[in-house]
Amino acid sequence: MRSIIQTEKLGFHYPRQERLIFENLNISIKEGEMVGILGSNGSGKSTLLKHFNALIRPKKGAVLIDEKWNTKDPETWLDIRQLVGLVFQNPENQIVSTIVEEDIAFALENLGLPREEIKKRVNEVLKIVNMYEYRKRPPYQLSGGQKQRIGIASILAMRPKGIIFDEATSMLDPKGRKDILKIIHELNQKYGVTVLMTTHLLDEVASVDRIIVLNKGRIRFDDKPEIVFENREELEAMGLSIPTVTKLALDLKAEGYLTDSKKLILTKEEFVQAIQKDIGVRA
Amino acid sequence: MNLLKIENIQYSYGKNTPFEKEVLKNISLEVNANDFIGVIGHTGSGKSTLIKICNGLLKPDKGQIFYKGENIWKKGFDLKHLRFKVGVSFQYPEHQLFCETVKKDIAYGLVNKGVPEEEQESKIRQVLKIVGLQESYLEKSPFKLSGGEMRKVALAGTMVLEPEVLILDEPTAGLDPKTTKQVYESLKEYQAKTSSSIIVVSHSMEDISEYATRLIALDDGNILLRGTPAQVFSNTERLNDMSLDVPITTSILSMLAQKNPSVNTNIYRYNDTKAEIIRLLKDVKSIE
Ligand SMILES: Nc1ncnc2c1ncn2[C@@H]1O[C@H](COP(=O)(O)OP(=O)(O)O)[C@@H](O)[C@H]1O
Ligand SMILES: Nc1ncnc2c1ncn2[C@@H]1O[C@H](COP(=O)(O)OP(=O)(O)O)[C@@H](O)[C@H]1O
Ligand SMILES: [Mg+2]
Ligand SMILES: [Mg+2]
Repeated sequence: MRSIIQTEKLGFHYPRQERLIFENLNISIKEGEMVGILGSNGSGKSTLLKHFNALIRPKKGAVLIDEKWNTKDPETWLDIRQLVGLVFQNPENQIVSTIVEEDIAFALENLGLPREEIKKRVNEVLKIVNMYEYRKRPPYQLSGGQKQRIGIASILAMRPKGIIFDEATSMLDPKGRKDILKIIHELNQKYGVTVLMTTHLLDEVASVDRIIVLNKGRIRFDDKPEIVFENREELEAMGLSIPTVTKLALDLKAEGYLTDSKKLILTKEEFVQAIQKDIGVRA
Repeated sequence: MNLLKIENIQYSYGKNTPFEKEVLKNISLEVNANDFIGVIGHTGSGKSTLIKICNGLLKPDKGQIFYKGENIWKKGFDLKHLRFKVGVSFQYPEHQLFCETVKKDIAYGLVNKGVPEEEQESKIRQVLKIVGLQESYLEKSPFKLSGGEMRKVALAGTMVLEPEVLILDEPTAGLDPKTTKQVYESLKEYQAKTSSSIIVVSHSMEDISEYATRLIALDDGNILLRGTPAQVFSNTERLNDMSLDVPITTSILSMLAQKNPSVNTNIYRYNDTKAEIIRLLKDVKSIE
């Protein structure tokens, strides 16, 4: 399968730092994958992700996008940024215009697309993020989650193959968070967009295809959630955690319950099922 | 006596302009020593505005605020003094930080407060421990830190002043699980030592339910729900209408209760949830 992002022995440090933030990272993200990136504060997640749309360039090794563009080559940057979009934590910082639809059209105008095409794309992406009714509104009237959806729409309008969500839900209220997560999953499943996301809310990455854990400048895990979350103690030692239901199930197991369920539990539904089964066995 | 009392507060931004917007409609709140108040509400519900009202950064259009019984907007009241007693850590740490080193940033309030230099040093080291930052950070520039590290510095700068009312606006947004726990545990420890009151704004129903003793839920400038976490989290539907939710623990219990009517769904803390599920599983045995 085609790899949309590939790093080869990637190493980086900021100016005037002696030590590398990370080194020797070999990561390959395949087209259509949904990947969670975990790491404690300061572990280098944002720095790594900025390499993927050429906002930052390697100090060592290389980053290859779509198997053809090396981020070291400035001529590729425009193409790379259309191919891989980046959504940040704070929705306030991503909106520039005074009317929602203009904000989305803005980036497209810079691409020099014909007016008709721009209009078509703007409407299309606003519908995908469920914000079509808000197209004439000024952004300041929107909630945080709605602003974040507009940010996502602006990126979608570029028809990217991949979108990186760097803690995109961490400032949102519960509804805003749910809406964004739903859209992220839909983009991946329905539209085949490759998704990379970081979060500190472990429940949000229970259902991704793969989790990469960064620790002390290295990749400590790169595997399916049910395998990564087996390592509770180690994750906790590095400042991370596991999803609440997973923790609850493990704690119950430790006290002699749920002995029948072998697989790691990752969702509320699986948890309830396991409890009902345990009740059945006991009754 | 209460430390802070807020009565019928109303506040609008953009007074007498076409953009005038009433953001707080009629808010009353009493804050007592040893309170741990959780503030929840959708984005734009007025949480951050309410906080700025609490330490006198914004003056309400209507209503009154008392600090230990004294009206803070009365002539002659020392507002600067109030800001040492009612300490706020704001939502966006990058707006709160402005010195060239982390150390100077944390020391800024101490200098203003007139704390002697020899005392500053030990206070700063103590507070670094509390927020979990290594001393090597002291000479770094706050603007070259990761988002989570910046937040820790901002928190440290507020806590180091040892306020009687400590207000934190989304203090753990963007912090990793270990640091989040560290922050809440240190707040609890700080409170146990000082009997101060703590107000925390958070979107994490899980964190807030684990630590708060009282909750208020804001919606469009009004407090629609208030009470103990158990009381507030017993209103799943109303919370959902307000863009909020119950903690995941409560939601798991509700799912279990559909098949097992004996399950108590009015539980929200992690350990209590675990105990309730164990009770359910044991009960099955004893029935048999
Ligand atoms: N602009 C910068 N200049 C120097 N150091 C930085 C800069 N941005 C981040 N850092 C440092 O690089 C490390 C990784 O930061 P970051 O990638 O933001 O981590 P994360 O996103 O995992 O929290 C941190 O120790 C941080 O202090
Ligand atoms: N400085 C300001 N000028 C005008 N409107 C503002 C300002 N600050 C906040 N608002 C508006 O007031 C409302 C409440 O904001 P805020 O108190 O920040 O809410 P919350 O913290 O609950 O998200 C929002 O609609 C916001 O857009
Ligand atoms: Mg980051
Ligand atoms: Mg706020």
